[in-house]
Amino acid sequence: MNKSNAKIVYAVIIVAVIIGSFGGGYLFAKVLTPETGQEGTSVERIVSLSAACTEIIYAIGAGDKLVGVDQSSVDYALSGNETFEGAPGQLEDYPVDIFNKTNVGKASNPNMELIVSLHPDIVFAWWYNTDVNKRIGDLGIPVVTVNPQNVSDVYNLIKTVGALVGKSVEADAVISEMEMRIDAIAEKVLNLINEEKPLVYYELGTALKTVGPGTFTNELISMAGGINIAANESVRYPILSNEYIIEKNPDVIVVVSYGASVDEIKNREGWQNIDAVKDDRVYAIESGWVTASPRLVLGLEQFAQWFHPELFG
Amino acid sequence: MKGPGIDDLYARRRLRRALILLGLSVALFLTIISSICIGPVKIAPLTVIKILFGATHSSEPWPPIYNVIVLDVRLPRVLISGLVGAALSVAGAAMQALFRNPMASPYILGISSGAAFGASLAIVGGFTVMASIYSIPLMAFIFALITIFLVYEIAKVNGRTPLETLLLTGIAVGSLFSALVSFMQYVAGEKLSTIVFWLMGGFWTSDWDKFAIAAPLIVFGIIAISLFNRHLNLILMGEETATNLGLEVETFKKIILVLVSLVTAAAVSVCGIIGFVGLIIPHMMRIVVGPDHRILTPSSCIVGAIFLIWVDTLARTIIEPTELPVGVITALLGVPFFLYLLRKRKRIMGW
Repeated sequence: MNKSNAKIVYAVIIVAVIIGSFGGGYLFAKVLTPETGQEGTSVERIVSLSAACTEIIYAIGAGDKLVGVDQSSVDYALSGNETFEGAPGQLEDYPVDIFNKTNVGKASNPNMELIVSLHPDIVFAWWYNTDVNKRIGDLGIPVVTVNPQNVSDVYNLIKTVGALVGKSVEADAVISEMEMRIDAIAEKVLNLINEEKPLVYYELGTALKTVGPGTFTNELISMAGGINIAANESVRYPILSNEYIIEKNPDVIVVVSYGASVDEIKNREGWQNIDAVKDDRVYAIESGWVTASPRLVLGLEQFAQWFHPELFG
Repeated sequence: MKGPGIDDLYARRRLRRALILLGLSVALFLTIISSICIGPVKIAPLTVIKILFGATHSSEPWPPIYNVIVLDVRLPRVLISGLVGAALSVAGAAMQALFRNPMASPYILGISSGAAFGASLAIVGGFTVMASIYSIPLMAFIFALITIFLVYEIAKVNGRTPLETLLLTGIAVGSLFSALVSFMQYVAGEKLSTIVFWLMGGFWTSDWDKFAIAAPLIVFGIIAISLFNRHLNLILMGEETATNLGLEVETFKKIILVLVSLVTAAAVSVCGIIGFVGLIIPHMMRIVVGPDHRILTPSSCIVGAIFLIWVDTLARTIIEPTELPVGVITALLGVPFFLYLLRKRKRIMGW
């Protein structure tokens, strides 16, 4: 083993890296079948990897076109029928019918071969699972990625889904009902001055982790006439310090249903002095009510009731 | 002097080794075929084998989608998990020899943390050296190599790299990248789950493109490492002894580090960080076939492939349709078996 040998080894390694970096992608032909990914056919078989989309599909009466759903779509139904009562659209079937659909696993790592075997015309998926979405697309299945960041995005999403599955009329009906109910809340909180709005601390599944600007829940809090104590943070999902929360002294604390229990929040060290705990205004919100789906109206109405019992009692 | 002569003994040993490798190769082939027959979509094994050997659906009685499932979903996944298992095991065996330390693994110099940071940059920020669909594997690969380069350059003292300094530098640089990954997780927002799943390691997005990226590098790296099996045996005796026996220790160290980093980076870039395989498989094989790298390297390679293929098959079928992270099962299955071997066969392991 000497110097010149080493040089040869290095040269070979460099060549190998170059071959490895550029040789990809041209060696294997894709297997595509005539029955996947045809343009211009109507959408009859849907796989949804986004619980919000699953809910929209049911709400506009297209639940029968769903052939596969992800785990979180099923989890929605586990929190009980009552969490669907009074929602816009036709959601009464959802909690029962969802169990008849093929569960393809978690949205972040779904079972590819199950998805393929269901022959979907289209897959709805969250925008952020890029590698999974790319993989499904490579298998010749059209993927619609969704990224609703606020209420008007949700309206557009409902419109899009409605148009794709031939349920535009029903989609418009759901949107108008949502608009009506949201307007009813907006006009009551419109004229409130900031002093009349409660300070709100909202907690996610991790202790002290909250929602900042550019998040869905942040928008719902302000629409319901509350002020989010993390509205001006620089991170979208900040973790606040314990003392900062105590010092801010929120009037209302809301924790998502899969997070800490109300009792745990009340018994945290030093939180006894927070107004929300003193006045018994610590609440748990159903997680399906604060996402990009028709049930956000239920979440908004619930927030409004908690923030302004004098207006919405 | 009676008894078998030295030539006889050598011949017998060669034969035994050839038989071991032949048996393992057959086992690997059977593993590949049978694991492709297993999955949530029930396809008859005979159909799978027909498809693998090129039967199209035009004249056959099965749905055409079966061809896609076998050739485009299962086959690349099984091949990639085998490649990664082989890569990590061979890399682990070489690192354990180089450091003369049973705790050494392919990740010991912080390469996994570096790769994770590269991947998280691509996942969160969309930062990449070239805008392509391969941005995550590519960034993971580049940062893995950057890490090893940094560690080596920092640890160098007067052209030499003492092993202790190398190890400590690796731990320090690895910790730095781990902290950066934690920061990326904090600012990740919705992408958090993508990072977390990448860190756990898994094969659910395996495709032919990833295979084409990883296979040439891994195959080349394993063959190159195999060329140095005798040198690895020498270095096990200690650096001084190896030098006295004519080995250029520093150059050799550099070459092994580069090769190990190459295969590890290629493996990590296509499937995330799968722990444990690179640590335990070489030990298992050392217990079974002994510490001589001329048999240890090839048998670790094949057994690593077999092991990871089966583990991934379990990961995708234990609780269908949900996929378990493959790293969970590697440990759950591997540890008891390893401990059993350790108790059962207390052979000298070459330490």
